[in-house]
Amino acid sequence: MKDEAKNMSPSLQHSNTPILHHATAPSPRLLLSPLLRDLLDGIRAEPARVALSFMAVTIGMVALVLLLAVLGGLRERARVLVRELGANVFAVRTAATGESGRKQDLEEKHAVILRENLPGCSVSAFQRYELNARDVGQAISIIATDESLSGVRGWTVRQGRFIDRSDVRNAERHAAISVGLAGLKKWKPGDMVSLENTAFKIVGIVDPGTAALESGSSDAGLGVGENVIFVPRTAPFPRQRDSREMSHRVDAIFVQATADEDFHRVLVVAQKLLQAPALGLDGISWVTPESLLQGIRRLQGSVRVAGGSITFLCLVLGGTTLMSLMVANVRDRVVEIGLRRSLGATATDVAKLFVFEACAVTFSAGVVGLVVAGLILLLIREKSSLLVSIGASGLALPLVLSIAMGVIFSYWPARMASRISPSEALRNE
Amino acid sequence: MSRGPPVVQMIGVIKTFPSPSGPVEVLRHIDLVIQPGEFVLITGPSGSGKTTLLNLASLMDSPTAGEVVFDGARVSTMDDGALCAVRKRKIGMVFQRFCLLSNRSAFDNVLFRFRYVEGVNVDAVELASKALATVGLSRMGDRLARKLSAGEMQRVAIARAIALKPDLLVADEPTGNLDADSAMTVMECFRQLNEQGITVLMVTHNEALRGYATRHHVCRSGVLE
Repeated sequence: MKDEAKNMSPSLQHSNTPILHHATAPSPRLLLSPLLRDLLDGIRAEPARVALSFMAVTIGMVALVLLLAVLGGLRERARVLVRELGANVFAVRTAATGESGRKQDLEEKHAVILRENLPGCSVSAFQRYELNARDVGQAISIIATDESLSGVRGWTVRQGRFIDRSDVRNAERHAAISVGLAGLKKWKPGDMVSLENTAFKIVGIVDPGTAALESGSSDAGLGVGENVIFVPRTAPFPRQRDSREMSHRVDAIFVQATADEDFHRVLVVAQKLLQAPALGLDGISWVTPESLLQGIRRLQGSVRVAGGSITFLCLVLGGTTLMSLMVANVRDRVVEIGLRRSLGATATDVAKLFVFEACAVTFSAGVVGLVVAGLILLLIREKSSLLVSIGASGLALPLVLSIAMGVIFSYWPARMASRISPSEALRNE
Repeated sequence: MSRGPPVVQMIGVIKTFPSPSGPVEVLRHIDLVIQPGEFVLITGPSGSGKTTLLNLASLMDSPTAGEVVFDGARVSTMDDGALCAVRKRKIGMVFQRFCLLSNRSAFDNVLFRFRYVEGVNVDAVELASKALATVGLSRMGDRLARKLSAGEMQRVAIARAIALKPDLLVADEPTGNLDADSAMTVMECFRQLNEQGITVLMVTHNEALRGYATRHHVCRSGVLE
């Protein structure tokens, strides 16, 4: 042992002699920043606890992202519904039965009343028939309507034209078809089609884009379906000849207020007109953008409360697990805290160490949670019709929240660590 | 040996700790002056206040009464940041149980001395290497601290303490966990460091080590003799 002692270098660096060589080559870990090395040491010291905290926070983050995606999906659905109904558009349709118990059908004359009394507004009505499937081999809807329907609903004409005023006035056997039907049957403008033994000439292809309205329950009947043929309401059509009453019936009337008119004033006027006792229409319902959104808002509220509570609990659980990790970490590392203090670390340095460790755990859990939630959302989009949507803010929120969680839930343990006096810490040695 | 202002000066230092039965006076009117280049050894039985005295000298604690002056500066006027700055640059500490980071290599443990020191990163590797060489562990640098023997661990701890050329090297029972041979190696290490100009303040209960010191005090019931 004496020999070992003699091997010690006789000159300490107090002398100004140059350093001739490195006693040891610096390890690759030297390249890491000191804070990162501290972090790795902290994780290696308590891998199981870190993993537990990481998992708990990840679950919370997944729940949060899914909640945001579902809420985003509902918002998106609301936007689509309003768009599909049409800008500044409200609709009136026949309810199942009136208050008197007698079914109150809307008729073409009601559309005429609205046209005559709402100058400047576009009014359109349609009547829907289901075509005998044997004729075309598919479920196809026939929409008997006027020339205004496409414009009022804001649909896009892809090829040719929609049925026009001349078609309606002259009861032409002209038809516009939906994009879906055109794709399905390979029909194009100029083709002749037979609808229950009545020949119609296709004049255009239109994209109704009413998938959201179709799938809604409260707004059922406002959409026109995917496979649709639009014909002039005046055109001879076998079912229209069934009865006089049937030929005048309409399923829905749409009113579009012009941009410079007060939408609500137009709605009130229309309601007064059609609810006049003389008309006897007590079984009609009004569909406005507001009424369309009511159901979604109710759903949003429920999701917010239920999903939000679950997410909040998950995050709090993750946070408390993290806090218990940090408290245990502080207790297990009291001597290390003393060592750091003896090496010149300030109380703030010690606090920062634990806050950084906690933030690193929560941030990485946030990133992993985001990835896992992204995969789940992809699966949902692939396998279900549930509309989910998440924007950039929805992606950023979990990351920001994860860092905030790290700071919040490590604050107390870090404060505890920073308040340990150096001599007290080293007494535990 | 050049004599400048004292490295540490304690003037009428009293230290009490609270206890359920009232304050306990651990140090009683301590007057101590440690000049540059001295090797001061303080011995005494357990509970006599040796470690408390060491903590006061190394600015790890503050006195209840009296004054500690470090390198001419009154400690009572320093805030936490100033105390940390002094500990960072001017004091090296060696502990009974080494206080090494077990998952890091011997070299990394020495390098840890620079963890809170700004502006010496370029030199840190060289200084750490040289400190490790000084304690005769050049070839052990890559070995994990937990795989070293107790004597080697303590020498790594010494290398860590001296890596930044401290004005004062304090050691709290540095041989308390070592066998006789390792203890002798470590004490030789301290002697050589002292001979090279480092001021050493060591506390131990082992009276047999007094031969290494240039000055010896005994601490009994909080009083320095």
